[in-house]
Amino acid sequence: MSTEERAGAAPIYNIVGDLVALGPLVLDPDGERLHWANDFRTIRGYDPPYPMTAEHFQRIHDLTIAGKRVIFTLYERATARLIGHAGLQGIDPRNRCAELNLFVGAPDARGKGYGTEATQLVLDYAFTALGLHSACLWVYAFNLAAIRAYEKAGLCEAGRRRESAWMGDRFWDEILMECLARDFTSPVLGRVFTPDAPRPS
Amino acid sequence: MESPDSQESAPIMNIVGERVMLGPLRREQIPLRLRWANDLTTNRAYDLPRPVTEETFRATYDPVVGETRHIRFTLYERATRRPIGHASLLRVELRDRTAEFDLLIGEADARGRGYGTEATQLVLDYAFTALGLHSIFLRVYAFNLAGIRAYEKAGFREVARRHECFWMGGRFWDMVFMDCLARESARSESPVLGRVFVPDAPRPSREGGAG
Repeated sequence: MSTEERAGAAPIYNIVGDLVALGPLVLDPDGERLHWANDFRTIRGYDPPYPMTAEHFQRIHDLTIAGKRVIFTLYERATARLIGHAGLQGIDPRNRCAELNLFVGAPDARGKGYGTEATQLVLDYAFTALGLHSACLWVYAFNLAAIRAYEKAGLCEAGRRRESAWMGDRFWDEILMECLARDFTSPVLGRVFTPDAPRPS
Repeated sequence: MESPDSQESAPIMNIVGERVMLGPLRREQIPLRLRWANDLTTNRAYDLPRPVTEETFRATYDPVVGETRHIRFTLYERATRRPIGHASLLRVELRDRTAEFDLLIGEADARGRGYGTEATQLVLDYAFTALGLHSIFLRVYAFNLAGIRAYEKAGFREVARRHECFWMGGRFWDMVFMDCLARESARSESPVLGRVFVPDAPRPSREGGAG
């Protein structure tokens, strides 16, 4: 598909929430995601922060679509524009658990509740579509907006790795947050993943 | 191709404790490690226990050895100089000065002797004294009582629990996260490497010495 054809075409969605929607991963048509990946404010938590080349970005993308992960493109619903990605990594079918992965790259898409809803939709996917039993994530203790969003989405703190991240002029904890399937109510996919109702005879 | 050092030659050691020692990985130990990797008792806590072929194992050896973010030692029983397992620091992080500790005692008759405790102490010593790291963590399942006991004795403490994320014996079990900070480890001071990683002492100057 050429760029002209893509422009104006509605993005494909798998899961649609009120504010955001999740669709299949797409390559980086405008190079915008590469810009986010080079914005040290956005990737301040990466160790080490480094200049990311287009080649390295492509390699990460290739890794992302393989393996024990399901990563979605995250869209702002009102504008249908790509604002980041969200999904699951380390999906473990034997133990029915996975880790959440959320990235809101577009700076002006923050502070609007998108992260909260994206987290809820990914949890919904994990528990309702995949039948997982638990999901978790690690977040730096200085990342206040993220912690607030995860709490609102239904995750609870389950402990801390002490002083395991350097930021500013001191060490910070990493917080383990988790959610079990039995503590989660499906917002969307409960209406999709349902058995057929028997037809009246 | 066989490596020049054979099984009979004395293994090379980096860190020598009282009962165990740590040295570099050796290609000739691949058959031994392959045996450990296929022992489902040893690997009960790996997420997908499966038969590991020699071909797979050999193919991964070079990438594993070449990966500089991970630092891996072969663990030896000191009395017999036989390899009994491995101990590693995984994902050594530059900025955050942290890493994950990983231990495996593959030889069943080397368990229950305090080797795990000392191996853990030696790797912590390496992490804090040789690498200058700040915080080391590990993951262990809640049913692994011997492991938890050894890690506690060596200086780790429980700091977090990922609930019900491992299936074993008909129920879900927690994953326990334990960590140890450099300043806590320093209370019991470096067992070995504090005598190795030391600055030169200034030589006594001769009289009138221009130094």
